Amino acid sequence: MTGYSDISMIAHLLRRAGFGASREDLEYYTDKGYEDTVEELLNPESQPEYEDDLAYRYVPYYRMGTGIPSYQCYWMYRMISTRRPLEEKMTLFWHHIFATSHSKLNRNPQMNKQLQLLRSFALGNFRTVLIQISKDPAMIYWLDNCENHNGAPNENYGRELLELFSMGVGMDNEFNYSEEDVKECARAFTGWTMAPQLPRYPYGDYCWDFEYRSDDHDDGEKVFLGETGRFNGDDIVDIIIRQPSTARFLARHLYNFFVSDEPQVPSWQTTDPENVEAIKILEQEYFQSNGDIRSMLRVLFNSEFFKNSLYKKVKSPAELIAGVMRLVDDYTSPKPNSHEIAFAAGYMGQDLLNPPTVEGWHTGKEWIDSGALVERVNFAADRVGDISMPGVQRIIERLTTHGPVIESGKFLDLCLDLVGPVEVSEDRRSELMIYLDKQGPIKCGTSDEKQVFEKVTTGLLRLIVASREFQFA
Amino acid sequence: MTTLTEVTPSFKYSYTIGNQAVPPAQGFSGPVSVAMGKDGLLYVLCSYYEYVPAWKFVVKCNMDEDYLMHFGSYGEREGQFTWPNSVAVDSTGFVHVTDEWLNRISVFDCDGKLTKTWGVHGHDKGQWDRPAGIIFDSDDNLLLVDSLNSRVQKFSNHGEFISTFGSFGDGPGNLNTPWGINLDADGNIYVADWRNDRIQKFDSNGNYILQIGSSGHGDGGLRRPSGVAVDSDGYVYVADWGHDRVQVFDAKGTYVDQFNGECHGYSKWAQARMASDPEGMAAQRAVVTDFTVERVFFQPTGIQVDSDGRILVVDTGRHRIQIYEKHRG
Repeated sequence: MTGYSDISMIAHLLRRAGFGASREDLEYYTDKGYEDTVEELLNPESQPEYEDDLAYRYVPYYRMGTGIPSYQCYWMYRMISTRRPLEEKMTLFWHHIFATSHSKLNRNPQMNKQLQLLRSFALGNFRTVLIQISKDPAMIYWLDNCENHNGAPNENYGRELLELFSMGVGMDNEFNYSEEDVKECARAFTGWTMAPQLPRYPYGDYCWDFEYRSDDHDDGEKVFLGETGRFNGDDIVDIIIRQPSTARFLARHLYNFFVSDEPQVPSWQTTDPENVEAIKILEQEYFQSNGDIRSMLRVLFNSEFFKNSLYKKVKSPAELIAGVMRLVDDYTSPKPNSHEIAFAAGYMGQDLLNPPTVEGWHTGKEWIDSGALVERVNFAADRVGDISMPGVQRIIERLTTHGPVIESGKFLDLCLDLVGPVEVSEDRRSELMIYLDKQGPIKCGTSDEKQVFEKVTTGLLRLIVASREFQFA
Repeated sequence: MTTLTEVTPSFKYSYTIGNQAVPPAQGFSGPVSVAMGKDGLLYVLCSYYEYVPAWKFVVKCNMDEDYLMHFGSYGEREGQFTWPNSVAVDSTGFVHVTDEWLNRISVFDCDGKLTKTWGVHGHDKGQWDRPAGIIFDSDDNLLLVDSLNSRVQKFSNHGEFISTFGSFGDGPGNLNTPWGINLDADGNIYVADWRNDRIQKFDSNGNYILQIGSSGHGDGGLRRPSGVAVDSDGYVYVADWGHDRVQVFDAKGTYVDQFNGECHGYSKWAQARMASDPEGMAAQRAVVTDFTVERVFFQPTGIQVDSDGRILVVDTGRHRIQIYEKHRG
C-alpha cells in the first residue's frame, strides 16, 4: 500500500514513464487502471503511430533542416505531443547513456537519424541495442571508430562501450574489466566504419551509412574477459551481455532514470545502490528475459519500490518543459516558434543532442543551480499564468464547477490536485495560503468575479509551479 | 479504318535552378512553391527556419537562373511570413502569398513591395482556416484551398467571395487537409487532397469529375500529395510528397510514369558556391562513389508546367528546382 490515491499513482507513473499528462489524460488512465496503463505504455504500437507528416507539412525543417535546432525543436515537440510517451522517454533514456553530440559531428540530420535508431530499439533487447549503436555512424564518428584500423587501433569506442555503455568500470569495489580487455575490444571493432558522404553544400546535408570493411578488420585471435577467439564486434557484445556487471549497470541506470536519483555513474564502482534489493530484482529479470528491456520495465513499474518513489527525482529540464506543456496543452499540435521551448531546455542545462561529454549529463540535484532554477521557475510560471493556454482554461472551468464561492483552503487543495496532483509541505501550504488570504473571498459567480477569479487562479498556479515540490517528479 | 496509336511520352531531366543559401546569398532554403510571371520570371517561396528571421522569403529569379531579388522574412508583421504555403501571380504581375498560420494573403508588386494583406479566419463563406494552395484562373479570379475547412473557395482578384465547393470526408468531392491546386487548359480544377492521398479533378464550377491516384506505394499509389500541375496535353503531374517522387497520369487518371530526381551537374548558383571552397568540397567529393542521394528529390512539394511544357519540380529538401522536359515517344 502506498497511501496515495489512484490518480496520484497514475500521475506518478506518467511523470516517470512519460512526460506528465493533462488532467483529462490522467482521468482516462485512472479509469483504465494502473496495470493496464503500464501495459499500454510498454506496448506503444497499440497507440496510433506518430503523425510525422502533419509536423513536416507545417514545419518542414523538422525533417530536412541542416541546423541542429531543427531536431531539438522536433524532438521536444514529439515529447509533448506523442501518444506513445514511454517510447519517447526511452529514447531520452538512451540519449543519456549513448550521449552523442552534434558539436563534433556537424552533420545534424545524422543526429536525428540516431534518435530514430534509439526510438526503434527503445524497448527492445539489450544485445540488439549494443549491436545497433555500434553500427550507428553518428556514434562511430563521435567516438572515432572510423579511425580504428587493423594494425592501428583506436581504443575510444571500445573503452566507452565497456565503461559507459554496458558494464561500467566496476562494481562492489572491483574492476569489471582490464586495460587489456579494452584493447582487445577495440581490435574486435576494427573495420566498423561508415561510407564517405558528400559535403553539406550546395544541396544540404546527407547522412552516412554504416560500412563494414573486412579488409580493415583485425581478424586475429583475441582474449576478452577470459574468453579466447577470433572475435568480431558482435562476438564481443555477446560476451558483454552475459556479464553480471552488465545486468547491474543496466539495472542501476533504469533505477536512476525511472525510480530515484542515484549517485553519478562514475562512483558506481565504489558506491552501493540506494536500494540493493530493487537492483537485484531488476538484475534477475535481465537474465530471465535475456536482456529484454520491456520485461525489465514491466517489473520496475509494477514494483512496490517504484510505487513508493513519488517525488524522489528531480525533473530533468526536458521532463519539466514537456510536462508543463502537456499540462497547459500547448504545442500538442504543430505551432510556430517551437524553438522557444526547445532552447529553454538548454538554458536550464540540458541542451538536447549536445550533451557536455560522452558521459552525458549529471542528473538529480545537479540539474539545479541558481541560474537553472530561475529558468525553470520562470518557464513554468509563464505558461501556467497564461490564461490563453487551453489547459489553463480547463483548470479554471473545473474550478468554477465547485460553486460561486470557494473556501480558500479547499481552493488550494483543488488547484494542487489539478496541477499534479502535487503534494506540498505544511510550510509551503502556509505560504500559499498567505497569497490566498490576501485575495479575499474566492468568488466566480458573476462575470466581474470571474475576471478576478482567473487572476487569482493563475497567480496561485504560478506559485505552485514555483514551489520546490513541483521541481520533483 | 485508321487506328490512332497514342504514344506514351518520356520525361527527361533538363537542368536545375538553385542551391541552399539564405538572402542575400543566391539560393533557396526550403522552397515550397513556385509561380511563373511573364517572360520566364519565377517567384520561389521559401519556408525554412523559424529561429532565424531571414529564412522565410520569396526569391524572384528567372528560368536562366539569374537572381533578381528577394523579399519577406519570418514574423507576423505586415509583409512577413509565418507559415507561408503557396505563391501565385495574377495577370497584372502582382504576387500573392498564402500564410496558413496568419490566415492571410499578402500581395506584393513585382518589386516585392507589399500592397495589401487580407483574409478573415473563420468557417463562413469568404473566411478561411489555413489557406494553402492558390491559383488564378483565366478570368483572374483567385481559387484558394481552404485547408482546414476542407473546401476550395473562389474570389475575385479584389477579394470578393464568389463560390465554394468541397466538404470534409473521403468520398468523391470530399477533401481532407488539401494542399496544392492547379488548372488545366479547359479550366478544370485539380486539388491535391493531401490527407486522402489522391488528386481530385473538378470542373470549373466545382463539380466532381475524377479521382487520380490513391493510397499506396506502387505505381499510381500516393502518399500525401502536395502539388499538382497539368500540361497542354492533359498529363497530370503530382508531387508525391511522402514518397519523394513525381508521378505522371494521363487525362483519364491512368498512371503513366514517375521520376525521382536526377540532378546531374550543378546549377549556376551551386557552381558559384562550390567555387568559393574548391579544395574543401573537392576533397570530400573525391572519396564519394555514389552520388544518388544528391540527385534525387527530397520532399518535393510544389510543381508547375511552364508555357514551353517544361515541368518545374520544387525539390524542397534539396533547396532547388529540378526541371524536366517531356518528349513524345
